[in-house]
Amino acid sequence: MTEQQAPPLLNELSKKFKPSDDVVQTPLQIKGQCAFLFYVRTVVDGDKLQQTVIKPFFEMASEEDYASYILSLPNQIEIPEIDKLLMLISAGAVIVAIDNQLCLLELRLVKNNEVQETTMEPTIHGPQKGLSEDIGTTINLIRQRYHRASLKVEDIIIDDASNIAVSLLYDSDRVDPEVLKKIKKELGNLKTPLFQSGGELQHFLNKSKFTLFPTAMVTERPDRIVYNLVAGKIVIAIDGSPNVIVVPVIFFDFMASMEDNYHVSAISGFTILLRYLGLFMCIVLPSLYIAMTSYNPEILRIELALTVAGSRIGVPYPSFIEVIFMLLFMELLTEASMRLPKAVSGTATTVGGLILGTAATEAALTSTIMVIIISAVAISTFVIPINEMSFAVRVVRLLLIIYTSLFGMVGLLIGFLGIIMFMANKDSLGTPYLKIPWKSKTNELEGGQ
Amino acid sequence: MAGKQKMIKGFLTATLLLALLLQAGCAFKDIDKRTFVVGIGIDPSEKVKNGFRVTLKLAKPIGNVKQESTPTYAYISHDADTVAVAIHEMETRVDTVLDFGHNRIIVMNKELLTKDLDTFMDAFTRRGDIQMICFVAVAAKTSEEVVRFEPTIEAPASIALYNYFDNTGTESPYVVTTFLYEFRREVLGKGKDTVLPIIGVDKDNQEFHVTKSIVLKWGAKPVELTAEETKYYNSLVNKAVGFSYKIEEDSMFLVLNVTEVKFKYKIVLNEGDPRIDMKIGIVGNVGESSQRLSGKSLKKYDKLAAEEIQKKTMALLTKLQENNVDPFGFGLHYRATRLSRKGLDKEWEERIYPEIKFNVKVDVELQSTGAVE
Amino acid sequence: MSRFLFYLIIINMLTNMVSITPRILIAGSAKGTILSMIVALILGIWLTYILVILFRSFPGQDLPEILHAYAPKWMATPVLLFLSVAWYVAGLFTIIIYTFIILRFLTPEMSIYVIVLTFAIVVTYGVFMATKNILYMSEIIFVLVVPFIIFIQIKGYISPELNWDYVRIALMEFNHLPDYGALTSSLFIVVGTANLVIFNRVFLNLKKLTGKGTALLAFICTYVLATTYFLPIGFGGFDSLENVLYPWIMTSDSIRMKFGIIERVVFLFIGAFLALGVVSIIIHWHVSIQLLSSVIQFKRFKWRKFNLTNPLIMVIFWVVAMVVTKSITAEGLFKAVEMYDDFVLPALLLLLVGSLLVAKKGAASKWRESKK
Repeated sequence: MTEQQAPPLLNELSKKFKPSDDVVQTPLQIKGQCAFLFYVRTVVDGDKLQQTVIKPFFEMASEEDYASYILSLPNQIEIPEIDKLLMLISAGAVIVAIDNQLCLLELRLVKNNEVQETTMEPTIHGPQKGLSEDIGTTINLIRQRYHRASLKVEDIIIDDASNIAVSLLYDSDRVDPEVLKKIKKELGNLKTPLFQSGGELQHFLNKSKFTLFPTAMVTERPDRIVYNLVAGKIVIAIDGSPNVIVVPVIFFDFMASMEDNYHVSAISGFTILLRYLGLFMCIVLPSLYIAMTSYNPEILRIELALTVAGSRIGVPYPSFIEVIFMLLFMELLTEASMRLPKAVSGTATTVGGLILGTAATEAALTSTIMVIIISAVAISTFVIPINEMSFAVRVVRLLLIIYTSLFGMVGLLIGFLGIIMFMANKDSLGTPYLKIPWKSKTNELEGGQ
Repeated sequence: MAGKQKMIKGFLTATLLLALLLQAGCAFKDIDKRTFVVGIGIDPSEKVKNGFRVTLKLAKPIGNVKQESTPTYAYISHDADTVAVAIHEMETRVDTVLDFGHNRIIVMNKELLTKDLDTFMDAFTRRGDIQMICFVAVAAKTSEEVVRFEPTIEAPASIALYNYFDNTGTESPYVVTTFLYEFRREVLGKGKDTVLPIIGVDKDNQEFHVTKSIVLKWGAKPVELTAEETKYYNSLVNKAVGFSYKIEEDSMFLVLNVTEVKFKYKIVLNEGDPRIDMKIGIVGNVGESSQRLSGKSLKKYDKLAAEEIQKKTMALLTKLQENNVDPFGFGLHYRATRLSRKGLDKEWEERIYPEIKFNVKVDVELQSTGAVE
Repeated sequence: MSRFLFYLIIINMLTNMVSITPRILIAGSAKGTILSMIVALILGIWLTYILVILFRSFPGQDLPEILHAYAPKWMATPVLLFLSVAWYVAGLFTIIIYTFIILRFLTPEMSIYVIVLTFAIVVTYGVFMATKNILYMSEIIFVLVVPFIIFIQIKGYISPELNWDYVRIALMEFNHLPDYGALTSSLFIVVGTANLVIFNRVFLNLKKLTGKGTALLAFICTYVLATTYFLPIGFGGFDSLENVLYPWIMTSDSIRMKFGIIERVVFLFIGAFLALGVVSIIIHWHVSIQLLSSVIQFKRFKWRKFNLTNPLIMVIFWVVAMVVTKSITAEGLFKAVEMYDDFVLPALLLLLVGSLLVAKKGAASKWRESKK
């Protein structure tokens, strides 16, 4: 009975992993039977290894039996070339060498696979659980909601430092092959040293440096994902991120809440209307205040005009400084309460609200009407269901304020048109960003419907 | 593409910055730096020959409307050759900009109606910032008195005179409302003459009196209508309701509350003498009576009321005809129903209207005797 | 018929509503506007039909491509140049009129330069947008704005202060021969279709005018034309409107929303039409700049691989616009628009139809040659 040598591949691998202390290369031996294991201890599920690999070895009659047993295990993977192999081992794969035959088993130990609560897009009805930080669990959650063979899961290798797992999910029957080709090319060309979350990837997918509106959606809701898969969109899942990215998305996708589908039509119609009204208000209202008070007070009714004029008595600054000043405080308040721990954020809002609401008007820094407008704006900003859009709207609002203070009522109107134009001229992977989605039987325009 | 985008963005930023530089205090004027004019009165001037005295009612901004008890208005008057000059000179008399965008009433002196009306009305229609929906009225004595008058009932940040003519406040058949654009189209056009309300001031009771009206024909002497005539005119032409007719017969009287008025007329030329067939339908109920009424005899009262109204209407029509004014717009209707031809309006005005007969048919329908018999 | 073509036509019609057109119509009110409008309506729809059919035979191609391919070069260049200037002037008129309206009714203290600059930034961005995106953008603005316009007009029509007798008087003037000026200026209803000279490049299968489409188009045209003319007369009077510079602004100021958020409809009205005006300027200048750059292209005028011809043209456009807006008088503008309507517009339509016919012939003969 001679001591068997470990296959040369294992030695080579262990050289690569040196001097990590958690790399294990160990022989299994009993009565002339011999096998070698190679794995990284910290990422491999020890119990499973014991149960499915080590224990059967000592129970089997011969090496051949054991080999065929290992080969029939469900988590057995083909051995790829060395680079990929290294990646797989560092992600939790185990190499079993039996008699110069090499098998690769996937025995990942995943600690972050619990399903998370939805926090960014909560709904009253609809599922309360979101995705998981583990990509396997995420794909599992999606697959469990979408039982079709046409749902394809493609692993993408991203050329970055961490070799993080990225998967592309789409329904091959519904997806636009052009868009699919584009997104694959896009991901292949990704020149970034390191990325770790869905939000980051979305940022890289928005090509140009200066972008105002998001063209990829980050979501945490499995129902939204399935909804988008049915609509022929592509979902990008990233390991370690509790969100996935949906592309291509258009403006209206950001204004849709999953709740719209769960209510009766009248109610959801009303809420959709409310949402667009909120969007419109939070973009336009501060600028409207400037235009009305400083350029065209005759648009207001006389009673209101007199009240506004009265409430501005003693306010030292012109209206646009007043607006920018108050808006700045509001943004600071929002930002602060978002970043603060939950226990403290309540205090921050109360203190801030008090100062903004009462003291500022008492001190004649702003008019009372202004405070009402700012609060209306703050509330309506939160009506927008997807956060990215409401962040974008905050910036747009500021631009519109500048344009209005320069050009008055006309500036407000034309500036608003400018925003619409900017969105209409944008596209998300070839899909027009803002376009009225009438259903049409034939292609009227080149490349569009 | 990227280069193009960058260029466009660069261009936009540059122009925006340029705009910031240009924007050195033009057109930007905060609301507290403006004074709103809420009433204009025009009188003939005593100081300037052939000039005007313009009175403006200015609204002072109020810190807190709820706590204010007295109206907060200021008034300035100025004499000048023309209205536009007077307004311009007044701008130097207040420290803030005069904003005419909120003005809703122009009050004129009666004497001015015979003067060159168009020259000073021109000053208002020419200005882009004066509303075409502002009310035009005539003062009983001087318009300065009307504009400066503050009735006790006037609440802060609300202008009593607006409430009279605006149909959101009081709605009375005695009040005729004429907007500036109606005034303009009827004064400059032919075929219909303007009716303007007359605003009187009752200093003892601290209130306005808006009951009478005046029919204005450009170039002719204006014809004053009494309160009663105004009511009839207004109820027929503007379908104003909510008024009452008192009908007397022998020992009893009853008051008729009108809820609906229908008015139709036709100009008949080819059947003998030219005449206007008029059909008036009135729906209402009994508002007050000196004796018990029975529901069955409502028909009788219908007839009584109809006769009464017919008589009054005829009187009004004849008065208008005698004075050769036409606030009903019969002339307009005549032109509107004939193929266009030169001199159509003259023909009506000079030949047909002074001769025309009125044939008034009144139909009264009392629906109930009110809550009691 | 494609809905985008409808938008092109209607936006063009509506912008003409507040411009000089109603003034020209009213000026001829005692001379035969009524018959002119009827003739223009028939002529306009017929021309639309012809233009659509002609452009249909060149799917996905704009006029420069068509002419360069199928027409002699001596013809293509001057025709394109003329059309380009004509379209530029059309956009210029719109910008001047809106600048004047803003100056008169919204911000009288603002300098003309600032007002033109307000347009400049957004319109420049709009003109450089892709042709297809301009159509998408116009659809959105159309859908946002037209309800307001219809609301205002309905409000006007049901207003008790609207005196129908004045309208009837205007109607009774039909016993005059058509007036050439009124006829050509009512022809604006067809100019929207002419935008196809560039926009045809995105219409892959332009459908023929069907019976239903024609009926709808005829209805809309009649409605817009009638409203343009009759509503101001109903509010402003028949005899007293001739010296009003902007009859429609006056009309909308006469309509009152007693309980509306804004009592004076005129602001809503100016706002709605301003939005359409901006779209119309963008469409016109987009056409103009595309036509011009198909003729003039400085090959060596470059900056980092990007040809600067179009931005240069744009700058020239704005400089001319600034100078003209500053120096033109209201009367001069009226005369200029009248001249444009009387001479340039018919010439433009004739030239367009003519060159398309030539190109069609050229295309047919080329096709025959290739078959041989």
